[in-house]
Amino acid sequence: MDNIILKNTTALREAADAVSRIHAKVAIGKVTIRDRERICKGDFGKYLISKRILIAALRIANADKSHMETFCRLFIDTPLDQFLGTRRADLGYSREVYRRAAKTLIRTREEYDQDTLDAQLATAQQNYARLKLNKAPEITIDPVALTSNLESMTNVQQARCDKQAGALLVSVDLKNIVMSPSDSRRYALERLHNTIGESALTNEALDIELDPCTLNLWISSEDMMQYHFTLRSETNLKGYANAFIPHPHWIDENHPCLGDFEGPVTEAANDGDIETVIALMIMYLSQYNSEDTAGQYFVTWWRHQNAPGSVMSRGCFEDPNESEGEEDDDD
Amino acid sequence: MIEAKVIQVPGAVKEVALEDGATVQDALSAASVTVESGYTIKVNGADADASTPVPSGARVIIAKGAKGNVA
Repeated sequence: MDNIILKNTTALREAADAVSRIHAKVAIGKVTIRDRERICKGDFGKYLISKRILIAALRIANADKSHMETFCRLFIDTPLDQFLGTRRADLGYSREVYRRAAKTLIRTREEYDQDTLDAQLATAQQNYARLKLNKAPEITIDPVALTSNLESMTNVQQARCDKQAGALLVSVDLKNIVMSPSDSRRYALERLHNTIGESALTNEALDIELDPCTLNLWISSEDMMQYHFTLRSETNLKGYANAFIPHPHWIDENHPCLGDFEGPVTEAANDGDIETVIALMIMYLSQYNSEDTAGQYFVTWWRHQNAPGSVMSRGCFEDPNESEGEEDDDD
Repeated sequence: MIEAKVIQVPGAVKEVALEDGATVQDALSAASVTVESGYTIKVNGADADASTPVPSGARVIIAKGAKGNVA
């Protein structure tokens, strides 16, 4: 089989674009804030003028109402009450315009907050520099060597790699994966005791063997940053959100909740380092966090291992209609 | 001289150069990674500890109570 080339040109371009976008936003922010400040200041000035006019008119009217009434009748052809009412309306309008301008200014300052933009810019620049300096624009994968390296790993029974629709597909058949709690064993044991109502369990009971499964990794040939996983197993158990899944943290067909593994897995995938990605995924599959909402379903996997007939399982991961009418016997 | 990768979970991937015959402890020191109690260490997928030898091209993964796998 021919070598497979993975590129990260798209990633580099996108990282550079991200830096440019934030630079542009910083520049636009400065201009926009200055404009909003100017508008707000102008509207505040108009509001003050309206206020002074009304105050002055009220003072004159209070001091000499008859004189003011004459003035209104002769020079502006408007009754005094109407004149004062108009001035009050002017003031109300000016105040409203000023308040709107002030709110817009506050929103603009929040949108272009300098500290936030500085942080975003630093992250984008760091990402770009990392990609530019540390990554080759493309890497060549030797399928034979990759397959051999993967098959030398513990828990890997067989590995295959192929090029499919513009992506590298790596399939790894996994065996003897034993998942253990990544959080407190004491807490996990307590949960197990409480759920199954048995207290004679030891810490060893928390180590649960997964049935054989196949991990698939797709990486785009045009952009190493684009990748996703699937996990296929003959045994899918009812876990988080009532889905039939192969592992407590594999919440649906294409979505492992990687948690702390997300960073290293992404970094390795972006490097095109398939072996490290698979090694990390094996380690990920070898653990569960009994304290979170998905991981607490480890009890179902324990039941499947220790009392296989007591839990529902479904071999086909993709067919949601198959479970219609079934009752959940967990919990 | 050999090369190895040190991968910390949570954390990052670091490449290190080591003397022949180096151990996991040497790799972690070279990567400026401090291992406290409760870490799981694997070398090329196999269980390991600080004294385990690191072969050339090895992947040393250390993980401590990985969290956040919440939907």
